[in-house]
Amino acid sequence: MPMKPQNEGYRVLIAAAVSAALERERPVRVRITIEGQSFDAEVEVLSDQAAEPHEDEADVVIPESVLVPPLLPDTREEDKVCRSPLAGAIVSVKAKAGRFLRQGDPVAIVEAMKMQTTVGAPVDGLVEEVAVSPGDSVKPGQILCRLG
Amino acid sequence: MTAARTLKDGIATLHKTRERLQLGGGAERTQKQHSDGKLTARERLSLLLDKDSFQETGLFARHHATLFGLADKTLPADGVVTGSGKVGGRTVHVASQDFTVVGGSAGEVHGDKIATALKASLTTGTPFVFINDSGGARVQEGVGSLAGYARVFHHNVLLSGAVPQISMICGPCAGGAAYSPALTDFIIQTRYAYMFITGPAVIRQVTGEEITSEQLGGARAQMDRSGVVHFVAENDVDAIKICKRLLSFLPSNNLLDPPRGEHDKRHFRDEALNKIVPDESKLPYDVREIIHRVVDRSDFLEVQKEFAKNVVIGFGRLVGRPVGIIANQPSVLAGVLDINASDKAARFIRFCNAFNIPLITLVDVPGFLPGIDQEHGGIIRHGAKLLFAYSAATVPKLTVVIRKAYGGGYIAMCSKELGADQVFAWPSAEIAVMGAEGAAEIVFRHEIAAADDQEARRGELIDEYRNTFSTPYVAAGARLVDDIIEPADTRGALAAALDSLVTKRDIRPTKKHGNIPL
Repeated sequence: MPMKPQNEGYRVLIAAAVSAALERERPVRVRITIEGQSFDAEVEVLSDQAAEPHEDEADVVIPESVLVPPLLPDTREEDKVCRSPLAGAIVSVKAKAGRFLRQGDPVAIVEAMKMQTTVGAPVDGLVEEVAVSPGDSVKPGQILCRLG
Repeated sequence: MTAARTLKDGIATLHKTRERLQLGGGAERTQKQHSDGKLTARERLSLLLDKDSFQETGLFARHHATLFGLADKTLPADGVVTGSGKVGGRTVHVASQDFTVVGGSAGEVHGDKIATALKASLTTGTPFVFINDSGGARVQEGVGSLAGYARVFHHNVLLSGAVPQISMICGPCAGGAAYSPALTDFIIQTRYAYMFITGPAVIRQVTGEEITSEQLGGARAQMDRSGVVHFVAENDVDAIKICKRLLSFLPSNNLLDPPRGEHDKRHFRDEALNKIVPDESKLPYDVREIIHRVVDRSDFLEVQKEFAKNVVIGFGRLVGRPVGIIANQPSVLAGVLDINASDKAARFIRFCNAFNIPLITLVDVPGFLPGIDQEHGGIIRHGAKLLFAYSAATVPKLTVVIRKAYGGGYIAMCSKELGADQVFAWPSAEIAVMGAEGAAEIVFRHEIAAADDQEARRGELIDEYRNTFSTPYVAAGARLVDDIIEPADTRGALAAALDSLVTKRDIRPTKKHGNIPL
């Protein structure tokens, strides 16, 4: 959860992992540390009460097996290769070999089309190899890093 | 033996038969369904529909297959539970395939039951929800089963644009069966489900490629890669929640306005909107932060979240009125328009237009994506869909230019002359034919060439071009922007504009249909 000082106070950006958790359960408890000071907070997306389904009304017993994620993987070996989505120049490389990345965690920042674009990890995985360094120019589809 | 059959016996038999048929494939197969991570067809319906609102039709339906040992078999409801019920008090028609009955395989009667439910949707002007969980065609029934499918597809098309159709993929959906969901408006797929036209076995046989069903047609493949699916659900329960939430934004049919939710009294001025867009025009931001601050209660239902992420689409409400939002996403691919983004946005715009849902477009687009792949992939044809969809839409159309609006991308994102009813721009807007660097090279080509210090002169002229065009004032002067607003006032400006447009009438010449470049 990166923090950015603003003119007054702080702006808290919710990381992809937290927003994913928010979609599944609410509220989500988070601990925010600002300049060494910790705050415990509950994050909740306010939804439209009128539109929310009323689950308690149905009298169906949901078996536990239905609520757990499936075991079979839906990714392939090729998915573990992170590629540049467009032609541009590498501004900075965030991934380091040996680090574990979650899907969407920043791998590198590519400048292209008048914009700095963060390229995220395609899947969860351990960084095996980083193939670019800052200043490199990359083509669309060029490998940025490999995940194990 | 000879005793006359009494009504009392008849009633007892009725209850017994009904109970037996409602068990579908029986306790053992239900157990298997659960351990496979799935609910049964009827459990799904009980979760979806308001309590005690389900009215079943065709429980006693019998297949007429006589070959391959099927003649004596009872297939409860012929493997698909159909009928009507209510979701949030509004009627919907449903079909829910029962995997416990011969793998939910689709025979002729099975298909016909779904088609009948679809017809009921159309005649009553109510949404249709189809829960898919089927091994495919019932091979023993041969072409009869194909005819059943065709009937379903035909009715899907008849309903299209008249009533909303939602498909939930909660198990296998393979072969021809995958075309029914494809013909509906929204597909919700669970992580336990897969969809494909030809499966791993056929692919192995024909091309020699090895792939599992999950890799080929799982939620990730059909969302991230193919864009076939609109929502990925963690499981059946989640899928039903998404379905209900989606329905809450939609009218029951194309003759009604979408249901107005409770009025969000949140104050219209939101200072935080002044701080989202970074001053440095090269730095990205997440456009969803803006969307969340504009819609009621930050309640935004994003559609196709993981596909063509450079454009964000979804439903929200503005002072209770459902709206469809289309926004460039600067943090992905700089927010460019490419083939997939154009297809994704165009389809969504057409859905909203068909069901009277006003459109709000948030623009921050550097242009169309340059590249050989894009050109040879037909970006001209695909990008044209976006232009077509916006121009053809007759619902209220509001546009906010947040930052970049360059060239063809500017035109395509619901610009004034493409038919926007109101175009707002933030002071950060840069509306121009192309970026200052490229434009200065063309406009001042001779001047740069003639200069003693070409680099310095180039820099000066780029700045000159930027200072002239990288503001909303030139466009506003040409009345291509109706008003320049402080970002903090965006919600208020949109709400007021929408309110003044509810009576909008945009009557076009009668025709069979336009010819969208597919």
